[in-house]
Amino acid sequence: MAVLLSVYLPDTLWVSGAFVKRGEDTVLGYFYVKPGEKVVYKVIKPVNQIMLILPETLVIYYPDHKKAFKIRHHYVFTDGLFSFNAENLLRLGFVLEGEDTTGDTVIKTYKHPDMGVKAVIKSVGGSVREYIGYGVRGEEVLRVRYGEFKEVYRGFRFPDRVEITAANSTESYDYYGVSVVGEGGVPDYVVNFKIPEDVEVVYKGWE
Amino acid sequence: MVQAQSAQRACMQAEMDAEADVNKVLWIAAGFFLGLLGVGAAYVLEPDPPASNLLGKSPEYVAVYTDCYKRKGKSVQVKNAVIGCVLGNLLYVGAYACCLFGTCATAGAAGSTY
Repeated sequence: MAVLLSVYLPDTLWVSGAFVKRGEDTVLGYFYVKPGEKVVYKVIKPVNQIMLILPETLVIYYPDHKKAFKIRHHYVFTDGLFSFNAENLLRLGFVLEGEDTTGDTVIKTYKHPDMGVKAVIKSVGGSVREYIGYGVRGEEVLRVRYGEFKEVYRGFRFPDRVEITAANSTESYDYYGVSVVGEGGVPDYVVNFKIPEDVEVVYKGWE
Repeated sequence: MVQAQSAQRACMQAEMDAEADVNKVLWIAAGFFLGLLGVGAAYVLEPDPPASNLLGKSPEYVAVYTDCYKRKGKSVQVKNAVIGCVLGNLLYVGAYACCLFGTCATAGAAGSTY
């Protein structure tokens, strides 16, 4: 998410809002994004959890259990939901294979010349509405559908819903009250997050 | 008993997700083009569980899921890199044999004219 946002937003601002994730379980909480630096999720249901996505570390903290995980990760600094765009595909080595325009609907097909996989991005009125990923045998492996986009900051638009279908399971994210705020509008535990000293920290992937 | 069952469920889910997420073609290509180096990379580089799969999950789930995802993901990577490595070597040996016998046959044919 941060990779996409950093293209549009000054790095002094945060994007924040509430979310509901629906899938196997329903997860409620808030999210805060500092472009290029961190993504923070504060989950309030079903468990009290704070998740920080940092450039090389995923921190998951459970205040009620006095336990935290520091998981080393190598993926691009994004939570994945907003990384399905043309810029990221081109950066990953995909090339534009075809483009079809009907009215205000544009369907672009991208292909990776070495890996043999394809991606299709469908945009309506300039906003991405659907992303479909195909495997090497032409089978559909991923489908991401975006809801209505609303402008939250000087031309920067944010979807109210993202639905992901992969491996026969579907989960969706609904976003509410999304706004762009300065540091003063973000809780202190998000800006200056630190795991308390009395918390047990489990390290994964640092061996 | 209940905890053991949920741990087993978390592990099964992690293994299914890792199987689906790991890019098999990429690791076959790594083994094919890089040989043992590709297999080594598959063994050393651990796949990362997606953060969204851990959102709203309990600490017990996160612990089990992360371990199982990395273990299964690594095993899928290594298996495919080995397949790529074997294919690459077979192709290399085949090409070498063709070249060797082709040269012999040519030399034999050339020798028989004298």
